[in-house]
Amino acid sequence: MLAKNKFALLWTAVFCLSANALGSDVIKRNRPKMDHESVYYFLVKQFGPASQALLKKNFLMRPNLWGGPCDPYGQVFLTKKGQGVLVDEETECPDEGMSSKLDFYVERDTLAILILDKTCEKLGQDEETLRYFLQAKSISEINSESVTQAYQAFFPNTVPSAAWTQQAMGQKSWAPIVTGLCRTPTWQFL
Amino acid sequence: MNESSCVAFGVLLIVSFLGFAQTPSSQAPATRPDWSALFLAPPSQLSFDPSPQKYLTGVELFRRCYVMIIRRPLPDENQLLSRVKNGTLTGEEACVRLVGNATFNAEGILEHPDLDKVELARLLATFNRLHSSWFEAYNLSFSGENFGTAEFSDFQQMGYGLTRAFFGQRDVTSTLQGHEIFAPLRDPINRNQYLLARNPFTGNHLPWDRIGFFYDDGTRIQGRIPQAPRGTLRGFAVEKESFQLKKYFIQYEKFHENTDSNLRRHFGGGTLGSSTYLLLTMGDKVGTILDGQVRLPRRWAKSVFKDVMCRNLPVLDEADGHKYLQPESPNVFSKNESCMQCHATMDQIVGVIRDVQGGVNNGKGLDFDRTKNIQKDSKIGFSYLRSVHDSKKLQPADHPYAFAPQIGRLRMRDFNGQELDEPVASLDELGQKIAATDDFYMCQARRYFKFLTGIDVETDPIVLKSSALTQQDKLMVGQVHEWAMQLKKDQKAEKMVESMLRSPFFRHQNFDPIQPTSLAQPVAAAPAH
Repeated sequence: MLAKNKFALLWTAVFCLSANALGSDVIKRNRPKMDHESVYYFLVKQFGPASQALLKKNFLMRPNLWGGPCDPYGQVFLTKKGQGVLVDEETECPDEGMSSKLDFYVERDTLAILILDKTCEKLGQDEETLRYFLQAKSISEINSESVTQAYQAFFPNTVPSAAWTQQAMGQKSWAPIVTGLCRTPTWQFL
Repeated sequence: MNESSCVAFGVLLIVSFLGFAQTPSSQAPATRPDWSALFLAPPSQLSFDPSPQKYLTGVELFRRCYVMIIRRPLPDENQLLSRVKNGTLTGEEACVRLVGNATFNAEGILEHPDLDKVELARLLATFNRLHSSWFEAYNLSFSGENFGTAEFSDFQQMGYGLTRAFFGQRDVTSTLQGHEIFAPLRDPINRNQYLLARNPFTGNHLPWDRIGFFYDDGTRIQGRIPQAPRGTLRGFAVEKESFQLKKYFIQYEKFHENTDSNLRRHFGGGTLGSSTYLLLTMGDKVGTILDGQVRLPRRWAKSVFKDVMCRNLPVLDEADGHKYLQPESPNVFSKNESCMQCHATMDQIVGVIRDVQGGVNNGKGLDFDRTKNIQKDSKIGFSYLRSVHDSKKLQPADHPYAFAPQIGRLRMRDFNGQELDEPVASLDELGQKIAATDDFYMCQARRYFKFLTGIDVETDPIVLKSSALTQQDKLMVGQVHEWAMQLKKDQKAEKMVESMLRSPFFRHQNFDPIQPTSLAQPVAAAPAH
């Protein structure tokens, strides 16, 4: 737990630095990054339909943590079992009007980093979501080519460092490799 | 300029040059110092990192703008991506096409030759949400039991105006003009059956078909209350018909009054005077009639400066407050210099909406089905506005301020430090005066630049004037100013966004292309261009 907290604090520090590294009183920088919808769709693309419920709960429903205004009037409710149910769950705009005024880019706080960490751990450990990730890239064995492919799923057009590749190839299963990539929040940078 | 003001201006120039004064004194109100000289440096002096590896490749650049604007992963089969990969388009051109090739068809639906229906909806949603987020107020339920207002009065109305102008190649100035109400065109695949509002006890959304709207005497309002369109946004239409309510109920302190009225009334000035914007920002209790003293819609005034010009009050200089002191006024704030620095602006600009009666509570929706889903005492009311001139009961003599001619004043120091103190006789005229300032364009340039790069450059001259600015600060303000002046000239926000997409700021890996070495150079030492 302590190690996880240290990890979260480290990434919080990275994000804070990226947020205002060259900032002054009159120029504020907040590095553009994926918003709550972009993160959701990115991870659904990587981990498949079995990941949707978890990702919806942790990203789509929490625009205040991940940024990006939503549209309350985009929600259409129909009756199901006497209740109003959203026709398209992905249009949900929580907190009514408040979420429509959010910035697209919000700094990731400790809670956001912890949620990402926990979500990625679940996705990496879940057989179905991990299988989807690997099958979509047609990879199974751990070798330099396949770990590079896994790396580029999160960091397109980027070649992993030799040290990272070496470390990844030393793993006995895909779970720690995929979890580690997923919990590295810089893939959210635009 | 007459002879005496010429002399005063000359004296000020000399004094400023000698460094003895930067702000006008109360003895020299006609002086017009150019503040912008204090915080602008020409962006031509910006020196960008020349190393190509610090900038994104074409594919990377297109991926950046696609994910930023469409907010979905870039599919491998995307047509524009294919063209970037095969070299028939640069990444920069593809990004510009992504935004620039969208247009509204004759029905008002957004179209784009390179995007599918989902992508198109995302493009429109991103810019509409961006524009809507520029207007801070969202809560239409300011007076208690009127939370039904948001069900038919869409609080994104102001954003719709900007988005329609953006993709419709309309002048940005048009957003501050006229009486048009924009009806969002949304996918009508399913007709929404529930309110946005939730039952406060169960947390469930309240069903439309179980809500009735009633006059205060219990008579049900005939005709359907038009629901604000719900679903995926596809475009905009200009609303031609307004929903008319007959004999609506006016709650006023001493009596109730039933008159005919227009639910969708627009008071002019585009964004500034739509019922939605006024309801969101007037912020007074039900039935208030403005009195020119205590009861004034000052929150509307503050919102106009903040939402439309990115200016916080005060927008006058410290020394300006003195000029507007009113020693004979019964109001304490009118005798205080620092109070008047804000009140001299707020209390004047609101004169242009002096006749608007705020927060009129039309009726209440009762739980007439008595279902378990809704508490017995749940009510849903809604608000809209009228002019006091519509009343048959109000006596002008009892309300001299509200019934006086609708004249206000735009009183501020603009971005350049020029003091404006001009009468405005309508919201359209106020819109024209605002559109004549640099502040309106600085605000738009600032907001688009922030969206595209994450860099938020302060553009409020009062803040800039009191800050210790570095050379980088001045160059960045200068860069935003250059885009703002381009917008002021050609009036097309979409073209300005294209310029930003082509800029080194957007293309740089970290959105930070300025060479640190160039920042050490003082402005005076930079080569002349």
